[in-house]
Amino acid sequence: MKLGESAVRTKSLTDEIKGGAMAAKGIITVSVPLVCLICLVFCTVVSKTQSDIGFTITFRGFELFQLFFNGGAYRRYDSWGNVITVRYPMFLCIGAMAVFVILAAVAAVFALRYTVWRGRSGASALSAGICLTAGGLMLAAYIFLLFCTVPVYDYYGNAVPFYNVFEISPVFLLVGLALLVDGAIELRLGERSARKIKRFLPIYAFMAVPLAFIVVFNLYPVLLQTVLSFKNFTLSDGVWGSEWVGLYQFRLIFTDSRMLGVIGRTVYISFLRLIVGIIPPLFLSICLYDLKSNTLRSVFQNIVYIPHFFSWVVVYAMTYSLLSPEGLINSMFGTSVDFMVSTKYFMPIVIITSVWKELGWGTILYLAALSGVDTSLFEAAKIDGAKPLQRVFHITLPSIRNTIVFLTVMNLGNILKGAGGEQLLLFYSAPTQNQALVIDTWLVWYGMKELEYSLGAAMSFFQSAIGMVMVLGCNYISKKTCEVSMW
Amino acid sequence: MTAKTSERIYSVSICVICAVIALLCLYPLLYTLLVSFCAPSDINASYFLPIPEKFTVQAYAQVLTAGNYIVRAIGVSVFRTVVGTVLSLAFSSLLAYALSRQELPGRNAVIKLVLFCILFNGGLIPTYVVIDSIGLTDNIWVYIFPNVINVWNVIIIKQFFEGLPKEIEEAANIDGANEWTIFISVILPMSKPVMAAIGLFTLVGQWNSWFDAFLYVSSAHSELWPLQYYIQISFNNLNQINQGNLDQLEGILNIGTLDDMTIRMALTVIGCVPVLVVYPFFQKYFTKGVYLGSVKG
Repeated sequence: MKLGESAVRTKSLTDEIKGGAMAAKGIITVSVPLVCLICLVFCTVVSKTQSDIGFTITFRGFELFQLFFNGGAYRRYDSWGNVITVRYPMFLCIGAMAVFVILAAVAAVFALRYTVWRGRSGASALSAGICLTAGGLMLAAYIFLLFCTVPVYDYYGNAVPFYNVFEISPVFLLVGLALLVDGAIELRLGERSARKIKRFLPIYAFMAVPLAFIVVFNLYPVLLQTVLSFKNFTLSDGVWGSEWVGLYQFRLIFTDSRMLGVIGRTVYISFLRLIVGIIPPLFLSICLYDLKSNTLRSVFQNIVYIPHFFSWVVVYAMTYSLLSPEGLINSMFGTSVDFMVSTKYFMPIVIITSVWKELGWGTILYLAALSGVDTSLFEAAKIDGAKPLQRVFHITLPSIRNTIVFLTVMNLGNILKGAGGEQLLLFYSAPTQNQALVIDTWLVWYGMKELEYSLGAAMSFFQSAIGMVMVLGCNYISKKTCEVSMW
Repeated sequence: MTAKTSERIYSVSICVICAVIALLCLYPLLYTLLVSFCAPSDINASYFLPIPEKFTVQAYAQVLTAGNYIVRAIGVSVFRTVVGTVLSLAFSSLLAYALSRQELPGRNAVIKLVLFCILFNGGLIPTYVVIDSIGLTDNIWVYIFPNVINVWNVIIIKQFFEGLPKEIEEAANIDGANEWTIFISVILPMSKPVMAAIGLFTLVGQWNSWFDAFLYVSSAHSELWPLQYYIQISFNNLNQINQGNLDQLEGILNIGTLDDMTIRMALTVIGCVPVLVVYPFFQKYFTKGVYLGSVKG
């Protein structure tokens, strides 16, 4: 009796949780298309700029209704009181209306699926299918409108290519994506995962703010970079209003001899840094590892790590105090050579200071790898009469081979980013500027200052894309050959 | 016999090499420190180490009192270091905690997104456009907001959280603790090592940073410049700097009886002392942090 009662109670409890979770899912799936609809009605969806007279009109969703009922003609008074008429082809107006109808229909189907058709099999698949199709259609239409030219008539009644004069707002894109996500939620989210999601709601709340930061400061710049690098940015048109130029910027990068020179110098300096970033720390870490006294080792270790924590500004200041005309070297020899601005000494100074800063820090990984080496190997070698240097070459080095390969391969992957722009920006001077011209400094000196935003974006797109392919590839190679990888 | 001598030669020579390298690492710092205490007559007469005949803190007094530019710059640096580090640790660990929950629906998608952000970043110019369009240029929060989430750090902290024993978490869960309580009073107290390591890196990064001021803060708003940027423009590498604040700084550099170099070195010492002060406290944690970060990442 009692057992049965509790069983009933448990069942009703699970039903309640289930019902709650399903209701939550229903509310989400229905509200997504509704929110999209409201957004489209009240946000700017299309804007029209006539740059020669510096005039912009924007259409919000409900104004598209008027457009439809006026047969494609749209009238508005400009700020001087003149009547302005814009004429769209009818199929665009019908398309615009269809978007609203489709969104409403998707919301309605979802609403039905959670009320009337609740028990019916296939209702979920059907509604999800409709939602996904709608989202796909919207995305397709958006892309179509971005890349095709549809004739419309401008203020003066002349036919002009659609896209040159009209900008479709990214809201369309977002709506399409939202519908796809909504469909995926309906399709992929079973009752169990819906319950799970409900349980994890506080965790999702934890993620909300950090993810918002990632979207704004990491992902949105990537999107802008992609868009900018296929456009020709002008300040007056802004990022979204500028003209699409396809691969023009990339073609410029690969054919312009100045750009090729910049890339070449980047690779050259990165390569130098790669070598001095691997071999001197390796040397130092073997010395540290073979020290007999543990206290001495940790004292030395803690000292050599210190320069890593100095800023490049401070390192520049110290270098200056040693090498400037009134610095130490000159006062020692009674000369007045300005090492800091001479083209002859620029690269050695840059490389030596970067070795000084990162030498100790670079030993950390090697020492960590060495701490895993079986010390009995060294004892055995000693008994067999191996000399110290023989032990280094036959035991120490081979046992950290994997770490060396891993570091080399990872640095190779970063070859386009490893030129150390921050340091070069501090150390260069007018005579040595050309020697310091790598991708990162080019972006500051030319991309930013001369407003070559599109070329700059294409440059960093190229840098990132090559970097990503190389890092993934190198990671794969490193995983295959020496079983060390990033993740 | 020969084996023994070669052993001895080897251990002596590596000891000498290590000592020389350690000295080379310390030498520029020592030199800078000593110059900053020198009277002008002492510097040029000296060789390797300028031992001040008359120990003077006049350079520091001058830097810290002449106008309040430097004091304000130190204030900006302290603000960005403290607020930036606290916010970054708080939000990175929240995200990392969420991502360390293996059964979280959608976890893999978010992790992939974070990894993508590591591999592919919007370069300098698109980032500038974004920061400009949300009104962060010439704004002190430009030092904070773009640096709140460092995707590498999130992955490192997540890795650490995943290594913590699950049982404690489950026990707390059964006791009726909610997620927030578990995070604050169970997970965080167990994560001191990784928090200290990441905290140190963020702190040092914030204190040492000058590039964002160079990019996002114009010379009309020089009251927002951090200390490192002031140090930078106090050197002769002035060609990329706008004239605006140069005059103020030149004012500081030229007044009084001290050598330019002494004052510059005093500024430099102020710029690196905080890092040297926090270093010993975090020293035992950071090797672990960097190891986690670069291999397991």
